[in-house]
Amino acid sequence: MPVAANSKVIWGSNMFSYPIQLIMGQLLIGVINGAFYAVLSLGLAVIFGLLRVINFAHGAQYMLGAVTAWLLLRYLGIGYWPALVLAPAIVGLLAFVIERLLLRRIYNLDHLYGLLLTFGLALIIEGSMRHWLGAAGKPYAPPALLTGVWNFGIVIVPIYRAFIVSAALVVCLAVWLLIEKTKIGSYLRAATENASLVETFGVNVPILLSATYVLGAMLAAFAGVLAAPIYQVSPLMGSHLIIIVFAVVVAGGMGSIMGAVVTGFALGILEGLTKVFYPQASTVVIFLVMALVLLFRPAGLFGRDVAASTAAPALATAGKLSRKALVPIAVIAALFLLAAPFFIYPTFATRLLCFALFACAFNLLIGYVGLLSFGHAAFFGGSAYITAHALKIWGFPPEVAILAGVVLASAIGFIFGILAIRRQGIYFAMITLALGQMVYFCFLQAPFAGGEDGIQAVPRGMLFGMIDLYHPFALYYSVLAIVGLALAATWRILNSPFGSILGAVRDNELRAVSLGYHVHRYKLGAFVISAALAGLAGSLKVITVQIASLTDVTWQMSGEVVLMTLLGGMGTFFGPAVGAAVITVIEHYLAGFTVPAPVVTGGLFVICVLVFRRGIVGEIIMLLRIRGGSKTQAKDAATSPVHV
Amino acid sequence: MRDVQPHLRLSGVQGWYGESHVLHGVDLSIMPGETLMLTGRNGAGKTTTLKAIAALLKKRTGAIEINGRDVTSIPRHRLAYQGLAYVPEERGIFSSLTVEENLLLPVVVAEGGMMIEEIYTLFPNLKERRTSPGTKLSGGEQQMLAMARVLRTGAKLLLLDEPTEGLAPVIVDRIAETLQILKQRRMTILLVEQNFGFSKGLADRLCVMEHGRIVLDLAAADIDARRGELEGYLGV
Amino acid sequence: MRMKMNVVSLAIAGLMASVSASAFAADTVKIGLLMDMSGNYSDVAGRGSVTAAEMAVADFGGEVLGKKIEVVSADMQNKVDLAVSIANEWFDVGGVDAVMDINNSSAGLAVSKIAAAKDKLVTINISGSTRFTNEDCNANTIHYVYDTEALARSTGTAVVQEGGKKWFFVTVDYTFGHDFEKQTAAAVKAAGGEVIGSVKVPLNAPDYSSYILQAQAANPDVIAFATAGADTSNAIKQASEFGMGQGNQKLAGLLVYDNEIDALGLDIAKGMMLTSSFYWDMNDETRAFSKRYMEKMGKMPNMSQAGVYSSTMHYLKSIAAAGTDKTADVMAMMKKTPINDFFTKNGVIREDGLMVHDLFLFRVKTPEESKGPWDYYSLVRTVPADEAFPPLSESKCPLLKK
Repeated sequence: MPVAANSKVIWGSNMFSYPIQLIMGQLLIGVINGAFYAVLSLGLAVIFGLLRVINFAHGAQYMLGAVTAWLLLRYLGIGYWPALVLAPAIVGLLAFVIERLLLRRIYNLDHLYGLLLTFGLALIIEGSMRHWLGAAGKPYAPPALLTGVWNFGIVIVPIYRAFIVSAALVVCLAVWLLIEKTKIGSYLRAATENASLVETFGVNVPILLSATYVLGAMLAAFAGVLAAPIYQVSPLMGSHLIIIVFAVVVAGGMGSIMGAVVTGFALGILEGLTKVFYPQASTVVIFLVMALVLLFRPAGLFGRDVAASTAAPALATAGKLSRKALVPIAVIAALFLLAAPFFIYPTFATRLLCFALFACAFNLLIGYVGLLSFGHAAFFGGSAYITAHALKIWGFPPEVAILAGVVLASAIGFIFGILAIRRQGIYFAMITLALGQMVYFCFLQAPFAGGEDGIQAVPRGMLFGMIDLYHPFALYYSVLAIVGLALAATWRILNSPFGSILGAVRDNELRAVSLGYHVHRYKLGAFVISAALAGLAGSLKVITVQIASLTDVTWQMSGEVVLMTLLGGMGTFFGPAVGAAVITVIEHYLAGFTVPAPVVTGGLFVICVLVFRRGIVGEIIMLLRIRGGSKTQAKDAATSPVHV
Repeated sequence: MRDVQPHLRLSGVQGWYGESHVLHGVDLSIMPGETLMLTGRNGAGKTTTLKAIAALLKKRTGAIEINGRDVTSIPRHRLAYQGLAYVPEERGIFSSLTVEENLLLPVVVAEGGMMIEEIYTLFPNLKERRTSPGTKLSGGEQQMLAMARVLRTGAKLLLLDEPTEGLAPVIVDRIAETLQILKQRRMTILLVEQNFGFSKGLADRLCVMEHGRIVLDLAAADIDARRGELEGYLGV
Repeated sequence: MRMKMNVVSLAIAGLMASVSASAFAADTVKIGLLMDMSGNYSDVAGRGSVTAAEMAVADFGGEVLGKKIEVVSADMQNKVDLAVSIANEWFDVGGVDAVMDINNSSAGLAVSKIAAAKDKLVTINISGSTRFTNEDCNANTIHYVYDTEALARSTGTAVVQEGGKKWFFVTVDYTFGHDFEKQTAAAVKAAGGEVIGSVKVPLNAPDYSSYILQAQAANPDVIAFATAGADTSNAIKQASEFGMGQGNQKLAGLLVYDNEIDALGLDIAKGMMLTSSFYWDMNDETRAFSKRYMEKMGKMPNMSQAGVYSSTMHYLKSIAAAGTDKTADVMAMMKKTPINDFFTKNGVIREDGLMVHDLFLFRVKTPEESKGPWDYYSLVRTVPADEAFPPLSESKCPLLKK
């Protein structure tokens, strides 16, 4: 179809007039993107509303929808229209299996485990698909009926994209009707308020839970089939989208159907308009809106009252270890650490120390304050960039550069803290995730950060003018000393009055408040300390590997540190360090293999959440205490009722 | 007298809330059509007993039999099919459902339940508000709704937790009337209550709980005679 | 206690593995490939490049100067710092002598600097950044297959001459993209065209619709994509969906591989002009190599994968000729010896590390013209080396004595 002669527009880099054509076009694209956000948010909202699970696997299910449609066409010759129904059905079946086998086991636990479990599943699904299909997009043609464009003069609309909007609206409406106007919908709404009571009425809530998860996954897969003809079908398609959709859901209100759909469209349109007036901000604007909404309406635009978790997020804790048992372990560990560079590649060992510190910093927040931060990469990477810049461009000596990095990380931590500290649990995690994304985009755009190149060839310098950090052994021992001091300082803080109050806050915040403590100040303090330590880890890392890059500030990096801590043992002092060591070694080992690292990482997440919540060190402590006879204390504290 | 088996029997039931051991061996039985009032101080374990029967406790041991059949291994969502209905203290009216949806929510588990029109005839104020959200009703109306919907299910065994708490005397009377209707339909009722005035004329027997055990089991007729003892258990 | 032992032994085992590798260093010539095995660029290079290197080693005989030749590879997942870590370890304890490719410009630049510091050799086959032979040039790096300047001059000039006067750029937002746009714009202007606008797109953007819209609004003759890998096919596909590139309007992929044409399909890509160093179907020699490659990989080799074979072979031959595997001597031999194989007939590695050779201008066939899978290009003309690449005098390489 020939392109009609549009009115000619003189395009220069300096535009003060925005052609109506462009605005209309971006608006339209905004509506189309909004349609995707709406359908995906709807699925997430439905799942969260009843199951209280943040389905991190949603992006993967969306991708599976597209991949299934492609596979159906490629190998079975089944075209688009049947695929619209078949692909969601197949993905729904997989979702049913996931819910029955895996999700079901964690409903009784703290809601954060749902997030972690599905995060692991997402890694497994995406990693496997990448391995199998490669990352290049596969072509998938839109159905013949819908090819071509409608030319309205002002704007050109590909017919298929217009179809997407209507299909999305129809599906959203159908789901809304199902939930608001049918009997099954009433079961769902009631179960969302009080699932166990609804069971006593004779309603088969377990099946309802499965059906809800399946419905959510099917919505994601449906969006995937819709997307296949316009975006290349690629195993990477879900991970790009999922964080944005999270932001939409949080802004709209996490369990709200209406919120998901309306906010999805609204933010899509907002994003589109931002692309006209200030394109660089278009990636951040959704997160910005989310942060603003949460500041003023913590439950989201359409959300219900945030059910404030008054009890501590009952994450698995193993308690403390007695002095007696600690000493021999400490001695062995100290010897190991001192001798390490002699039989391990020193740079690798030093990197390991940095990540151990990073994990310990993160653990401070989750283990001792009970807050899961999903944005810790902002502190780690932010400090890395500043330190790199200070070393390379400003020519500061390493100790000053490190200090600069730590100061920045603390400042970012303070800002994050102010914005996030009043929330808890899932909401806190989501806010930190979004804030972390904003930091990522800042560094993506900032010229000094070097974009995709990062800051390379960072000099190491002479520590205190005396120690030549270019020598691998000198570097290792210096870092070991710094990390050791940092951990010792942390130990002191945790065992001080400040630390005991933190513990009280974690165990029963309301009680602490009633005792007169300014709980938020303590939490903020812990947050800033955690950020500073993470920043220190980032600075040390940059000196070690001599490069700062975007990887350091991605949400995937935030996820890594969560895994390290979970694997090693949340809430134990040394667990995270052990977890960091194990993960780093595994990933290093796997680099030369064909087994994709994300699959292994994801598998570890899933295993840890299901059966290994105390982590390595946690389990060891448990074993030692059972041996020591303190049986009454050796109980799993990792349960909390879903609804009473 | 024909030997009829109890409609509900608890033998040595122990129950825990998390780490708290609340029920220390509850023995109790109710005959079909009987109304048993279960009373005691706050924290004695009355609500917990109801929860144990409805399979709402995390951990419980002991035997619970309905019509002679042990129901402890039946999954929670199938218990209703044993003819059991549970009205909790907080009434369980859902804010995201209309009055009518709330009414229709419990599953019909046996024959003999009322049709919805009959229920509306009995409770015209519910009919009037049928499209309002459930929680827009007053406390008393919500209690009526909670009991009215039991009528629809055909359930024969009702667990009722403190229906009059926080309600004005006028409303309390209406609830007493509703309970009479349920009794007339030969429902077996386990009523947790601390309001003796309300239970007079309704309860056939009285059980007193203390520290998770039944310590007193009286016929209604003997209540006045043993008032002193009762006050000992229930007084401050 | 069992658990603790397992963790410790796993850690030690893993580390031992990396240490033990160095035991062989003295007795082998080790070639490394740092590829993106599963991400955006995995199809275009990835496993295929490793295969090409292995083929070269096997064809060479597996041994040089009495030492065994070994090929190692690692997945750098398109992450710069991972590439840096692996490269450092390869050089420090892994006994790797030369890295024959690194999968993106950023990582390539970083590793190139490390190689210079540690006296190792690096050859770039997949990346195109001109910085390798200009600002960031060093004595240890060879830039083998193409650079963005050459593609810019060749494609840019050719498309302008075909009638595409007004250009609009869709540019991936990092150094590679920016440089590419600048160079192409210069070539376009030199040929008589003009640049009427440009838009920067993020790397890995899934949705190009809003950027295409801006291109549409400007109504250019040519929409040029200064992108790479999956981004290129994605962007072109969506542009086509919006009805662009029809009639007199052209879509120009500045860096396009056979793999992307394969992903796009000839329906969308037909008529596109592109420049490449190599095409499998040019003559008997190229076909012979490509068929062997196809048997292993299931697809035809593109220019970078063929380049890995050619550069690896050149490296090994240079070691043999120089009589030593010391980097400086081998590098001198590599620069001294011209390259004459199936990849190129007249390749010469200049002092600044750039391998100049003839390039080829192709046009993508229509579906009717194509006789089967991978039969995608028809040759328009050969661009001689001195026309394609700027002269040495223009190079900003600090190595050159000026």
